[in-house]
Parts: sequence; C-alpha cells; structure tokens
Amino acid sequence: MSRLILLSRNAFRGILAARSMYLWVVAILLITVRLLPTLLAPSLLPENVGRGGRGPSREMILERLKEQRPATLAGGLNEWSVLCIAFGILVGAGALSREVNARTIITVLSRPIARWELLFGKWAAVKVFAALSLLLGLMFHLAVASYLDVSFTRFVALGLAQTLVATLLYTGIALALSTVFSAALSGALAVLFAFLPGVVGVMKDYPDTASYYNIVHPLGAVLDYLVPPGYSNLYGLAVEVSPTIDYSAQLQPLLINIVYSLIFFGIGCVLFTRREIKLG
Amino acid sequence: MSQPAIEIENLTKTYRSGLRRNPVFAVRNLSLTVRQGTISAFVGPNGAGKTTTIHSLLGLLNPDSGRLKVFGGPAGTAAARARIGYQSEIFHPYPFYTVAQALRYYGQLAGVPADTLARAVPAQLERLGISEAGNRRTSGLSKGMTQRLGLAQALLHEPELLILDEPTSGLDPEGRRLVLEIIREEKAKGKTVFLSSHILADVERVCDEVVMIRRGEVAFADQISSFGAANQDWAIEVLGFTSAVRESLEPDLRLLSLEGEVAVLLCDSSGKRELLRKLVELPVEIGAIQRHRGSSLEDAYMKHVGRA
Repeated sequence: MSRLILLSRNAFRGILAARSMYLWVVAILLITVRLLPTLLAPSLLPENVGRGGRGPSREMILERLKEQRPATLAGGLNEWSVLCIAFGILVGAGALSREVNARTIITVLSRPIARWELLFGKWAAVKVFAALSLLLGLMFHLAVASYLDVSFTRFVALGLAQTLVATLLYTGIALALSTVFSAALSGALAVLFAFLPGVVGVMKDYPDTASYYNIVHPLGAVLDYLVPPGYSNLYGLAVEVSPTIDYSAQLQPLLINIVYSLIFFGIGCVLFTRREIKLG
Repeated sequence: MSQPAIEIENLTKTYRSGLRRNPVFAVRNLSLTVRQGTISAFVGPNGAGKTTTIHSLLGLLNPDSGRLKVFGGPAGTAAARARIGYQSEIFHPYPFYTVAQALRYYGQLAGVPADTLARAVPAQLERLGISEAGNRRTSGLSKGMTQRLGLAQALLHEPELLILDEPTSGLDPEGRRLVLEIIREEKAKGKTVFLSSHILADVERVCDEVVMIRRGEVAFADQISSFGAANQDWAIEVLGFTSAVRESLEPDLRLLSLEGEVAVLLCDSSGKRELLRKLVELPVEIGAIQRHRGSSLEDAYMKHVGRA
C-alpha cells in the first residue's frame, strides 16, 4: 500500500511539474467569459434600452437574466465538469508516455515493483488532479452563486458524483490506451469514447424499419451493451426547487461506469505488463 | 557450489524495422555466466547488443528465445530485481526532485525502511562525493554528477548484484577513479558486478572476467588475468641456447620463441630467481630480462570485436 501511495505521489508531482495547473487558468477564463453577461448585465445594460416601445425594457431584461441565473450557473458547472473530464483525458493519456520519453521509467521498473502498481499510481494521481480541478470549479461557482444570490440544493452532489465517476472512467480509458498507443492517439480515442454514449443513443433510437440494409438500429443496440453510459449532466437538479429524483436510476449508471473503468484499467495493466520498454 | 549470479543461455532477441517489419537481430544465441563475487565486464561496440541483454535481464524486454536466470531464479521478476542495483548508461532522474529526495524515492521503491534510508542517503551522497548537491534539483546537475547520482541509487539498497551500464562515461578522471574504487569495494563486500563498458583501461583495472560481444554474439570470453597488463610473467633472452641447454632446463621450460640459438624463455615472478640461477650455471649468455607484456585487452578487442 505504501508503495502505491509513493508511486501516486510521484506521479502527481510529475503532473504538477508538467505545468498542468495552467489548465485551471484556462478553464476559469473560459467559464468567466461565459458568465460575464450574467455578472455584468446590471452595470453594462444601457439605461435607455427598450425605451419607445422598441423591445423589452431594461427592467424586463434584468428580471429575465435574474430568472436565468440558476440555469446559467448549473450550465457553468456542467461545462466545468466536461473540462475536468477533458483535463483527465489529456493528463492521463500523457502520463505514461511522459515517463517513457523522459526515460525515467527504466530506473523505476528496475526496482522490485509490479507494472500494475506503476499504472495504478498514475491513475490515482490523474484522478486526484481531476478531483482537485472539480473542487476548484465548485468553489468558483459557489462564490459566483453567492455573489448572484443563487443557492444550490444538496442535489449538486449528484452532479459532482457523476463527474467524478466519469473522470475515473475516461482517465482509465486514456491511461489503458496509452500503454499501447502514443499520447495523442490515446487522448483522441478516449475523447471518442466520451462521445460514443451520445452517438449510441441516437443509433439506438433510429427507426427499426426491418430493412435489409438498415443496420443502424441493431448496431446501436449492440453498442449499447458495450459502451459505458459515461457522463450525464445532473446539475440542473441542483437549482430546481423540488426535483423528483429516481435514485436507483441515477445510481445504476454510476455503478456501471465504475465497473467499466475497472475493466479498462485491468486491460491496461495486462497490456502494460506484456509491453516491452524500448527506448530506441 | 553457489548459483551463478547471472546465467544466460541462448538468448535471442530481434527487433522489427522498416515497412516490411524485417527482423534485425539484436542478440543471437548469446550465452554467458557471471559467477558470484566477481566483476565481469561486458564489452562491445555500440549496437552490439549489450543494453538489449541487460534490459532482457531486467524484464524490460521480452526475449524471443533463451533462458535468463539471476541467482538461479528467473530473471525479470520482482524477486530478481530486488537483488539487483541497476545504473543505466545515461541516468535520467525525475527533474522535480532534489538529489536527496531522488535517492530517498528510489530507496523507498526498493523497499528500504525509512530509518535505514535516513542513514543510507547521506552516506551514499558522501561516498559518491555529491553531499554538497544534496539539496540541488536533479535538473540542474552536470552530466558527471548525474552519473554519480545514478550509481548512488543503484548502491542504495545494498543489492547483491550490480548491473552498471557505462558507469564511468561522462566522468572526469577523479570521478572515474572514485567509481572504479567503489566497484572494487563492492566486490570486497562479496557483491557481484556486471559492468558494461567501452573503456578497456577501466575493465583491465577492476574486472576479473571479460565477455566481448559483437553483433549480438559472444565473440570472446576470458579471464582478465590472462592479459598482459595483469600477468606477472618475465621474459629472459638467452644466447647460446643449444639442445643440451634445453634438455637441462626441462620439464619446467616455457619457451616463448627460438631463433637459431637465441631463445626467449618465460617464467613467472616466483620462478625467476630459480631460472636465473640455473642459467648462470649453464654455458649460455643472458641477453636481457624484462617484463613480458602479452597481448593486451585492446589487442583482443581489436582481434575479436573491432572492425579492422
């Protein structure tokens, strides 16, 4: 156990040393730009807007923006969560190749450690980085919510849990792929995996015309069994006044995602154990 | 009799290259044995297959065929690696650690207890002459200091077998001497050293055995003591060397050359006085007495491995 912690700590230091925290700066800039109209509307909206019957009055616009604040913030949290998943994929896909390219892996693997331990250390470190990213986003949004006089309900935890599990899944996929592919290809394939649940949903809903040539629906149905549910946005629940929530329906995809992430990580471990460390 | 530290039988490893993925032999049917408690040199030109062999021993590469053993057990396992200290040709530490932190990390990975590490890290830094750099980031070290750090991490957990890939490359003469001294000290402690090197002078100075490899195959293997710089033989030139003289010196006669009645006789240091006493009593003239420098390691290298 202590060796796993040691490897995780080392991998996390490697992530920080690779200046990954710049990603947080980029994310805060992006989300701030998105929230700017909501934040600055009262002071930037001209006094004479809507006067003379041309469009809604200033008061009406401000009132509408005020009504939209909870949804805007929930949307911001959702976008931040998607960015966290993207960061996880980005950092996860490069974690192993960075070590191989820097050739630090040779001395580490000459020590009596199992390769799965090294891989697990990297996974845990990427996970911690993604979780910290999410925590930062949550704090940022709570601060903005407080400024805008919006409050999140306890159901925000559902959205956060969804995001955490999704980062677990996609960082696991990115890391598993990086045991055999380059960082860029692993990242690209992991992103593809992240889009698959949506594509599969569309394919599955495609009309089953029973036509000889129609394979879209059956293919979607088959892929539905293979592709993990992935990420779904539940932050809307956090700003609804009295949402109706089917907990078992929410829990099931979480559990399935966890199982899938363990399967992908297991496959990654097997591939990495068999892989040769060639340094050219 | 103790198990050999390293036992390699018919190791073959190919790489695939080019569009047609043609096989290129890195190592072909290589067999060698390294006895415990010895310093064995693994010598060969660039691309001969030295690093491939070492990486196969560490389990970093999967051999196509062959059997590799470390202390009688299969090579490449965690148990085998626990008994090995490895220094790569160019040591690459994590750039975000200080020298002392890097050593602690590698020590912890090797399973060295914290209290032992607290003593061992400063001791190794002192031994390698890099104590003052203990708090410096590894990214700011010179090549020589990085090499010393590489050796320090290999020694830290006191392994039974040291595999050192070019440990003296990039070192100044003082650093080279220090590293060779440490290698001798490790042998004195009963450790086995498998040393890959291009520097034949280093090999002659510290090694007991040498294995020369060329194009993935063992080209030559012998004891270092059989080479000129290490042997203690003397050559005595004798004038008037007749058949009667020859008969009176046998059966202990070691004749190096004979041209007419001029012979060069060989003897070791302990037998020199006795041979000279016999020669003085015989009707011969002693032309010269000098140390006999047999073929050097470099001669053997050029003969078996060199491209000339």
